[in-house]
This record gives sequence, structure tokens and C-alpha cells, in this order.
Amino acid sequence: MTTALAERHERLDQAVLAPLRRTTWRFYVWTAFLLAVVGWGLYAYSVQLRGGLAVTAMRDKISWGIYISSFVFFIGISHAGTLISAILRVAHAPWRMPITRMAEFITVVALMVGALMPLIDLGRPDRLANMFIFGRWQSPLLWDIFSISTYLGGSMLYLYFPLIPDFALARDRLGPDASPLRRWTYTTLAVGWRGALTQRRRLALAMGMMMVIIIPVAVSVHTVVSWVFAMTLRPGWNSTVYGAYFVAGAIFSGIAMLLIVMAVLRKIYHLEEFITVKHFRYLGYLMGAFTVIMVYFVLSEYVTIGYKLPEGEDRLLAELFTGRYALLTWGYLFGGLLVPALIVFLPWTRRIGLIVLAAVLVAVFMWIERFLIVVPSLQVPQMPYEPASYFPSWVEWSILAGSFGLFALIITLFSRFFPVVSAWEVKEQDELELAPAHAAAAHGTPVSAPSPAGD
Amino acid sequence: MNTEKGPKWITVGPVLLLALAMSMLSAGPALAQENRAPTVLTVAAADEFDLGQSGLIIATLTDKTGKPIAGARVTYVTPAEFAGAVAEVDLGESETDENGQARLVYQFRTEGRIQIVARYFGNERYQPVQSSVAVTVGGTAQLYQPKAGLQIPVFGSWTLAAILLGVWSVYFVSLAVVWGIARRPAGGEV
Amino acid sequence: MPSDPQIAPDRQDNLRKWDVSRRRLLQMMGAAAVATAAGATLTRFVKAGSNADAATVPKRLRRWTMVIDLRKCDGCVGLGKPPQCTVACIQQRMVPEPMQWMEVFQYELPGNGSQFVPAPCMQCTNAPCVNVCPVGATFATPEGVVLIDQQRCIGCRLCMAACPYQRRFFNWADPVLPQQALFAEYNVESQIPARRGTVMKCDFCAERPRNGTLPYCILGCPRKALYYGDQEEDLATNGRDVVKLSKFLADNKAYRLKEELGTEPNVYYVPGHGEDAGRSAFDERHAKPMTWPWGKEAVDDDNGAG
Repeated sequence: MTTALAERHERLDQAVLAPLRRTTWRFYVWTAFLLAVVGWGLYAYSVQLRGGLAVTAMRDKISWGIYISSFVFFIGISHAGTLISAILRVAHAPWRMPITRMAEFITVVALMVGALMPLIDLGRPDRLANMFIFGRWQSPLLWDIFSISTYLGGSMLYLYFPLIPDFALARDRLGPDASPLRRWTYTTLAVGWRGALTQRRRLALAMGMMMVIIIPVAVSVHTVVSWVFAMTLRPGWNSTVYGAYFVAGAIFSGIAMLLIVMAVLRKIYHLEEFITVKHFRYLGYLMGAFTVIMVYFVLSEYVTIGYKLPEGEDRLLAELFTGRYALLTWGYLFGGLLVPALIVFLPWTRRIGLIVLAAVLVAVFMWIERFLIVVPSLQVPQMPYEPASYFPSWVEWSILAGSFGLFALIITLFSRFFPVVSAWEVKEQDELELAPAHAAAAHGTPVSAPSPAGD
Repeated sequence: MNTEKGPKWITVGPVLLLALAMSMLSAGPALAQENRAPTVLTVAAADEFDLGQSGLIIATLTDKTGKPIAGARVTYVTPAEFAGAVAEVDLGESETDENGQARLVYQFRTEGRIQIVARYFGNERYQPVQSSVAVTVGGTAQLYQPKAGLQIPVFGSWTLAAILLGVWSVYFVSLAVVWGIARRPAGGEV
Repeated sequence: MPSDPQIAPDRQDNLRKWDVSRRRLLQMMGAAAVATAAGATLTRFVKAGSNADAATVPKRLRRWTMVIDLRKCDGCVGLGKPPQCTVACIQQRMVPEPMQWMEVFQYELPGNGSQFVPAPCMQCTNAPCVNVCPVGATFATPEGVVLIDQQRCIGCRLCMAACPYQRRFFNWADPVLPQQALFAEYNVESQIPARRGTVMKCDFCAERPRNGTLPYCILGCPRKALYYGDQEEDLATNGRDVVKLSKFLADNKAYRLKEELGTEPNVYYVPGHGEDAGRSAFDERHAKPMTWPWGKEAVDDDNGAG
């Protein structure tokens, strides 16, 4: 190994371990802020427990609101991990290495927060156990329980397995900077990893098995979430492409969220050397590819409906494109699809700052798109009623803020105690890339492998 | 009648004749009623039926000499009680053929003693008449069959259970593989 | 309440037994479809409940149905009152405000006329609400009545999203009820007392025809437009006349709402616009607004639409 590489790896270890060693006051301020937000959300929930769901803006006509649309959004984000870790792994894409850890973080946290949202939406949360005692396997909500719990279990394993060598790194290198409890935790979780060949083989086998099984599980998750809607007869929901539409939207919003978290953690923990503009660009390309896929689904859904205008769907399209939801719909099409696509595809705008802006646009407008899936279809009257209206109450907004706060809080705490970059995989990848260079140097031929430090 | 002050026969007579003519004229149609031929209606059906069985009710309409009356409309009703309401249920009508027979096919859906009443409402030639027959409906049967859903072979809840079991087994196997890392001490190359 | 020989004192348990055998019912229905129609006798559904008076066990399963004769329904506009079927239901069933389990809608007719259409729960044979309930709180009895177990419902409202007739209502807050509701013994067939956080709807008053009387909406209709029937015995009545159900439906060109959705509702409509009650199709009067006799200010049902 060359000195340059060894020094790079040393810097990587230091960068990865630094947050585990010490925290700045900024960390405490940020955590306190997030705790306040979560606390406010909890207070709002207590108001809801006291007054019933009447404190929300939902009523008999529009009986689901932003709780359910946020549920779909969070479960959607959780597909980031699968895409980056599993699909890119299967595709042997080497650039994924530094960001797999963050992607897997996001998956686990998004699933946990997302699973809370339908519970918050229940009219009788005290009867939650009925789902397990009397659960009917014929119900889409039970499919959600099976699917999300399976995905959560799989994601936790898939997060844990690549953490093992990094736990070993922490165990070996943290020294007095970590409390005895933490050192003990790292040691136990590292399960005696020493980097031996047999151990590497075992880990590779385990990760390989998980990698293969987690992809169909992840696809099933957002498919069954879509079927909560598609198994009803409401206009707009009564669609056969909902499974694929939701999975595509999930991966799309997951990439956006990953870009945002990546940018934040990279800045805070000084990982600029390892997470470079190349990563942002490649993820940006993926995000751009998915804008095209989302446009395709928008066309598939709305052109086929709009051509025929069956009863109910004509009113839905009118409200979405020319009625009370027009601003949100067109905002989504332009701000959530067109503008981000332009940013990531045009050469002049492919800078980290703008790519992150595109990601923020996508994340915000995908949340709006989930809202546009849930509420307008419920708003179309199925009997001769006057169309109802829905604007979330302060309780709903507060709980939404609390859920995002919880999401950020858990990621923050995670980054404090666990390495946010998969150091060993980056090192492995570096060596793999350098091996041809060694061979080429030995034979005197020019090296064409990309430099591991990025563009 | 007071002949001194009363009207003379010569004036009373025509009035009486007029009254008699008028009463005869107005009584005409009423008297003509009695000119309508009496009719006989017999209703026949088997004595006993099973629940759910369809039976043939034959109503035979004749005049009193036994000559069949063709082309007459016979209406059928049955007294019934349902959810506290007692009324006659209209079962339909049919016309008599050249033998004076009107047919009704009726599926018996109520148990017990059932009465079928046939009525002929008469026309300008024949008098109205009604008759009934009582049958006993017994046995048990479930006549309404709910429309079945779709039963596709092979797939059932066991498919879902099998898939979940398969996935979680992969989890546990991979977990076992990883825990094996702890068992094997680090001998061999790094 | 007259003792019902067909329902054991612990109604809850018996109806839960229906819940357990629902899968069996589905399998049996599938087998019945394959078997030839003529001469197939369904096995008796004998309720295994214990009875103090050991009365007769039902031999035949009813299939309760409603037929609504729209020729006779004028929305009670001619009487200047709110729809009386709804009023009777609210009063007798203690329906919390602002739910209308039986609701009278006004549909447009071709030619710019309008008709009043009373709509209870359609009691669908292929009910979307029953299909999606995660805990089986919404279930169909063997007699085809779709009930909601108020003690099991978790309030997820997936059934409300699934119902294409919007006939399900949610207790968003603590329901405002008359005082006697507090002392009502819970009965899955009557949903009394209503409680916060659960879904409610028309339950077809199925225990009333079993006891020889009629649902409140049928009795409350001054036009005698609502008929309650049984497809097993093929009879229906509006409280005054008794008709042969199949003949009544066929002769009067009866139809069902949203037939194309495949929900197989058990509520039929005879087309009309209240002409038998003297209402012209172009009569512009709307139904009078509904009131709940004991209500104080309750939750606004219209999501703010007015």
C-alpha cells in the first residue's frame, strides 16, 4: 500500500471516529432543539388523546389526512437504503461505499418513524393489540404490518452486518475517549472481528444473503402500502399501477432524503475528502432518472383516466389540475420533477449546492405528492354531497413537525455513537481500485483506473 | 189518498208510470246482474309440497253447467304474514285456456299451511267468483344461496405464511453466519 | 325487549362464532358455486348457543333486503318535515349527531328533474368494508347483515375509505347521546352506546324482523315507500302491504346503486321521483335539514363545506 493511501485511510479512520470521541456545543444545541420539537409534537398528541380525533381537521367526508400521507412519505424514504446498499451492491457500483451507512441509517429510522404515523391516526390506540389478537390477513393494513416489520428486521440486520468491522475499529481505536459502557458495547457488537479471512468470508456470505432478500422485501413494502389505497374503489386510487408507482416514488424520495442527510453529515463531520462531488452527481443522476420514471407514471395514471373521464375521476382531475389542488399539483410537476431534473442533467448546475437544493425540492414536493394522493381522492363525493374541504389543524402540523424532529433526532444520535461512513468498505474499495494500478505500474502500462480521491 | 184534494188519477197515473219506468230502467242493470251467468271456480293443487318445490296450481273456471269459460283472467293471491304485517300477497295472473283452466306455477317458500286464493272478477256475461286451495308445505331447505366469491385453487393464507417464514429464515441463517464470526478466533491472514 | 329465542343472552359470543366461521362460510360459498344449483341443500347453520328457554333453533337463514320505492318517496317535502325515516332512525337508534345512518339524498334525473333517494347501508354481499377491516370489527352475519363490533373497532377508518356509498360514520369526539344511552347494555346489533373513536353505520335493525316487527325507518315512513324483505322467504313488506319480493323487483324494474362496482348490495330501488306522493320531478324544494333531538353543538360533519 502506498503512503498516500495509508495516510488517506488514517484520515478516514480519524474522520469516522471523531464524532464518537467528542461532541461540540453545537451538537447539544441541535439535539436540544430537536427534543423541543419532538416534545411539542408529544404535547399535540396529548391534546389529541384528550379531545379525540376531532382536534384534527379530518371528518367523515375526508377521513384521512396528513397523518396517512406522512406515513406513506416516511415509508417511502426508507427505500433509500435498499437502493444504495442492495441494488448498487448487486450492480457492483463502487462509488456507493462511503454512503451506504447513511442510507441504511435512514432506512431504519424512516421505518420506525413511519410506522408510528398510522398509530397516531387510530381512533382507538388503546385497542392496538386487537391488530395482533384479531388480525385478519385479508386486510391491507395487516399486509403493512407483516411487510414493514419484515423490512425493519431485515434493514436492522443489513445495517448491523457492515457495522461489525467499524465496531471493531471503534473498539480498537477509541481508547479513553469512550466510556467503558460504550467500549463494552462496541466490543460485544463487533463479535470478535479481527479481519481474518474466514471472518471476512462469513461476513460477505451473510451480507450477500441479506442483500438478495432485502430487495424483494423492500419492493413488497411500498407495494402493500399502495394497496391500502388501491384495494378500495375511490377515484384515483382504483388503479392497477399503484404498486409500481409507489415503489418508484419511494426510491425517488429516498434518494432525495439521502442527498440531504449526506450533505448535512458531510459538512458537520468534515467528510469532504471521502464524500465528493462525484457521489452527489451520481446520486443526482439516479434522482434525475427517477424524475423521468415519475413523469412516466404521472402520464400512465392521468392520461388513461383523462382520456375516458369515468364518473368520479373527472372531478378528481378537475380538482387536481384546475381546481383547489392546482397550485400543489403544478408545483409538484414543475418544482418536484422538472426543475430537479434540469439541475442534475444540465452540466452547468451539477454542483453540490444545487444538487442538494434539487434534493430538497424533491423531498418537499414528494411529501406534497403523497398529500395529493390521499386527500383529493377522498374529497371527490361518492354520493350527492357537497364537496368537503380539508386543511390540517395545528395538532396535525405539530405532530408532523414532531415526526420530522424525531427522524432528525434519531439520526443525530445515531451519528454520535456509530460511524457514519463504512470505513472498512471504503478502504477495501480503494485497494481494489489500486490493484490494477499496481499491476500496471509493474508492467509499465498507463493506469486508467479513476483516482480514489474523486474528481 | 185523499180523493177530494188529492191529485186525480189522470195526473197521478202518468207520474206513477214514469216512476215505474225510471225505476225499471235504473234497476235494469241491477236486474241484468242477475242475468249474468253464475260461474264455478275450482282450484286444485297437490296436498303437500316440500319447501322450495314449485307446484302447479290449476284454476278451472266453468259456468254452472260445467261448460268451460275460456280467455278469462284469473288473479292469484295468498294471505301471508311477514314481520308483523298481515296482508294478501299478489302472486300474478293467468288466462284460462279453451278448457277453462288457468295455470300458475308457484314456488313454495313459506312453511306451514298455505292458502292460494284464485279470483275471477267477472265481466258483463259472467259473475265474479273466488275459490281457494290449502296446501301443506313442509320439510326444510335453504333456498337462498349467496352468490359465491371467486375461489382460486392453490393460493390461500398458507402462501403468505410460507413467504414470511422463508424470508425470516434467511434472516436467522445470516445472523447465525455472522455470530459464527465470534466463535472462530482470528487465525490466518489478515 | 322481548326475549329472542334465536340469540343467546351473551350475543357477543355467538356473533364472534360467526366471525370464526366466516372463512368456512367463504369456502362453502365457493363450493356451492361449483355444485349444481338445483337440489343443493346447504348445511344448517345452527347457532351453538345455550338458551334458558331452549326455544326453536332457526332452520333457514334469512337474507334481509330492503326495497325502496322511489315512486312513493318525496323526501317528506310534501309534509314540510325533515325525512321521517331518518328522524325515526336517529330517535330510536340513538344515532349521535351528525351521523345519518339512513340518509335521504337528492339525485339529478335526466331532463333536469330530481329524485329523492333514501340510502341506508347497502349491506353488500361483497362488502369492501368487510374485506379491508384489519381486526374483523366489521363483519357480515350469515344473514347478510354487515355489523360493526364497537368493542373491537380500532378506528383506522380504512372501511370508510373503502365504502363507495359513504355510508359509514366516525365518532371523532365523544358522541352526544341522550341520557338513557348510558344505561343501554352493549349489543353488537344495536351499537348502543356510541363511543369515541369507532366507526358506526346503519345495521338494518336485523333483530326487529326476527322478533316480528319492522325497522324504525320502515315504520317511520309516512309514504310507506320503504319495504323490508327476506330473499329466503321471498316476501317483503312496508308495514301495510306484503309483496312477493322477486315479483315486486321484476315487475317494477328494480335496480341497485353503483351496480358496476360489484359490491352486490342488498338494497334495491324502484325508479321514480315521488309521483305517487304527488311530487313532480321538477319540484324544486329540497329536503328539510335534519335535527338531533338531544344535540348540543357537535362536530361539524362537512369538513367546513357548510
